[in-house]
Amino acid sequence: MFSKITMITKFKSIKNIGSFFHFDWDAVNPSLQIDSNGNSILDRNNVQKVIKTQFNKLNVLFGENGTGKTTLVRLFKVLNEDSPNFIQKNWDHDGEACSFEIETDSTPISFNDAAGIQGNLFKDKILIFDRDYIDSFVHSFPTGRAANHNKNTGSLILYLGNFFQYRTQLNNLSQLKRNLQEKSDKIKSKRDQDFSTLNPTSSYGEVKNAFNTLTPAELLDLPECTKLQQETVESTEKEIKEVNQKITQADEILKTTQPKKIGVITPVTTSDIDGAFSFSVSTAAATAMSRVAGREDFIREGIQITHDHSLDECPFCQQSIKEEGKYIDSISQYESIFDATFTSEQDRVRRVLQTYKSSILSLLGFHVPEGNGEAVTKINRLLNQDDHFPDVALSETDKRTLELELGNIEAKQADITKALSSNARGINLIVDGLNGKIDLYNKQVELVEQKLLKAKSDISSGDLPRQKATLEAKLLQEVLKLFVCRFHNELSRIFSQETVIQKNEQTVRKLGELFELLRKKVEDLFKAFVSTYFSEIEKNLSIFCPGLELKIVGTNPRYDLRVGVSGDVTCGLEVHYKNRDRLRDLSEGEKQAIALSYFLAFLNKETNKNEKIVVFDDPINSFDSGRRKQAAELIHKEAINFGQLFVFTCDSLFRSYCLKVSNKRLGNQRNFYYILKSASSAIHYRPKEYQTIYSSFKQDFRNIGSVAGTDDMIVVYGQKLRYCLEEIKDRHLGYSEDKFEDILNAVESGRITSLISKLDEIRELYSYCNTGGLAHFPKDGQTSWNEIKGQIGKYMRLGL
Amino acid sequence: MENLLDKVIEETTDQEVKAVAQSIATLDLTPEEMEANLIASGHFVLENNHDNQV
Repeated sequence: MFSKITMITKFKSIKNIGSFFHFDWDAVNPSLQIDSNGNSILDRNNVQKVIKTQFNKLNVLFGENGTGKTTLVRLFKVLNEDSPNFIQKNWDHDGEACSFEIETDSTPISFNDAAGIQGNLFKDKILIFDRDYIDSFVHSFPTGRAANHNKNTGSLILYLGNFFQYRTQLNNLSQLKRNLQEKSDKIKSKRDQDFSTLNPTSSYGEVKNAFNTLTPAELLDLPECTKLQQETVESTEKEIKEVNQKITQADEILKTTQPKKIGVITPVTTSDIDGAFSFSVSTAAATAMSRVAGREDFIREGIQITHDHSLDECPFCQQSIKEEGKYIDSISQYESIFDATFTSEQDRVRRVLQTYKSSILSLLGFHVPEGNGEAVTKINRLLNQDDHFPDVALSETDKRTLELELGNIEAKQADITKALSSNARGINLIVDGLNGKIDLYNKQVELVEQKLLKAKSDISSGDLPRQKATLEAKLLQEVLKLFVCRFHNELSRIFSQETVIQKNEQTVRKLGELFELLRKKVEDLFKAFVSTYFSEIEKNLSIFCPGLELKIVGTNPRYDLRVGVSGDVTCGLEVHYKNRDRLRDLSEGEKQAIALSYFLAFLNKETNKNEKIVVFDDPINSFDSGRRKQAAELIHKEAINFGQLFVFTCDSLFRSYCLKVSNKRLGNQRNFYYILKSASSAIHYRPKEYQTIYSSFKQDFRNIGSVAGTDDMIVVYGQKLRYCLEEIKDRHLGYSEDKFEDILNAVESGRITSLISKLDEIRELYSYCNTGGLAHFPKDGQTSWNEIKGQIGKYMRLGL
Repeated sequence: MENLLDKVIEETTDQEVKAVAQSIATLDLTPEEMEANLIASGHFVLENNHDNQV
């Protein structure tokens, strides 16, 4: 079921829009007819004759350039877009309000600055073919080349419909992707450069992993962490050096002897020594002993003999040695001194003293084992160590103490029976101190010994290369950790870029995917376009431009991302003439023919045609006369099923073709209008019975006495006068589209001579219309109704 | 003229492609204008603000 067909019946008024300053349809095109006396013209039923001036199904509007056709076409665009964007105010009155009223066979449509568009029924229902259509939907583009295109390097591509815009959109998207990729790469490159500036010893990924493994405690005190890690690194480096030493000095290490330990010094027995030093005899015994000093053995032997033989006399001098059965005092004293116990005790004391003396002497002569110093130096060198044995030498104070004690011992030894005091406890303190040092010394010896033994063991087992590899791997990790500790702040900044880079790369990737989806859509649209329109376009073009061929580029139309670089296939067409690429050499007429072919094909495939209006604005101005006729026929053929058709033209020949074709196809459903302009543009309805506009205007001039002299009428009759003056040129000098030969014939026929005597009057009238008061009306108000009536009278009297 | 971007936004199941397409807003923009939209929506970051990093 069809919707109700709505037609535009009038541009009822147009104020201050484009070249229409003040246009009132009903004033220009009165429906009630009156004669030259102002009386009503009656029909045969004696009723005042009324004519319908309103638009019909088909409307041809003729107007020269600059008369206002484009303004009217723009009003159609305003309706189609439902937007006032196409409204341009009159240049001379751009500060004043503008408005229009359009009558339809339904409800009226209006526009003014304050209220905007009201009651529009034609949004998206008007199909317009004009220069803008050609510029918007017909494009050519050299593929694979830039402006310095050489026709021998490839084909030019013709884009019809929206494919040029699609191509532009896709190229913009592609350019966006390239721009973002470039910027993303720069950020990445800057990050890599910043990373590289830190001179890392490991890869970016390894550093990042190490960075992420720092513990919270380490992060809390990075300077300390760095310091500790530095020490760890140095330690491992040292270990590696040691292993290297072992490897290179293996033979010498194996032959190296280890240092010796120092034996612990036994403390002296203070009780024994004190006992020895306190050993003494009575004064009498001491006197006796001093008396036999140097003869102690002789005395001891005598005492022994006396005891053995129970003698009462001295065995050597035979003196009596007893009184009253008892030994005399001296012998008793000798007996006490030289008895076995005393002797034994005396010997023990001597032994103690001697032992003590030996100990003291041993202490005084104490020294570290010979060769230990050289050994540790060699081991240090071989194993890259820096071991040292502690100093175990006696202090000078200790030495003096020992020497004093030695003198003390010797004094005791010299007089054993004389009680003296020893410093055995002091000596033991020295011993204890020395033993402490010896203990430390021996521990160091053990340490060096262990190192040497380990080195020998490692060498013997052949494990050193593995140890070295393990240490080197360990060092690598330690250095890595040291690096991330030391440059934590810098790395933090670098790694923070990671999120940015990932996000950007993701966006670039998604843009690529988006591009692919859009590209596929354009391909599909082009396939559909070819399938729907191509044969129709070809058919139309073969009528307008026989021999001109359109070819779909490539067997599989596609959008090529490489366009502008090396691609040569897009969703477009090639134009050939006699099998040669002709797009580069297309004339304006051929380009217009292609555009019109496409538009007509487009009309052919439109749906709901009866709901839509078609508008042609000078569709053939670049066509020759043959093609104008064909265009008129094709336009009417395709447009006949649409709700309404408006054809604007400045071409009288095309106007004639259109009227002829429309008469044939639509009969009384077509109307004809002139668009004229003097101070303002205006649409003038012309009834069929007036063969030419000139005769109809002259008829109006003859009836001017019955016309009310309003400002509007001054404008309307000024337009008519100006138009009739133009007829003089056409009739007497030839039409602009006439052949030169025809113009010469016109001159030869003498038509020109009739003008010569009237040149002054013609000039005066022409000046009045174009630069005189009429041209400025109503801007300066210099023209009056009587004045224009006078000028029209002059024109009529010319008799041209 | 068919709005291809709206079509893709409507049809794609890839949420990230959809989000990027929505940020571009319209294909009737220059690459620079589209880039500005992507930056404004946070889909593209020209450089990181180190001071804001923790």
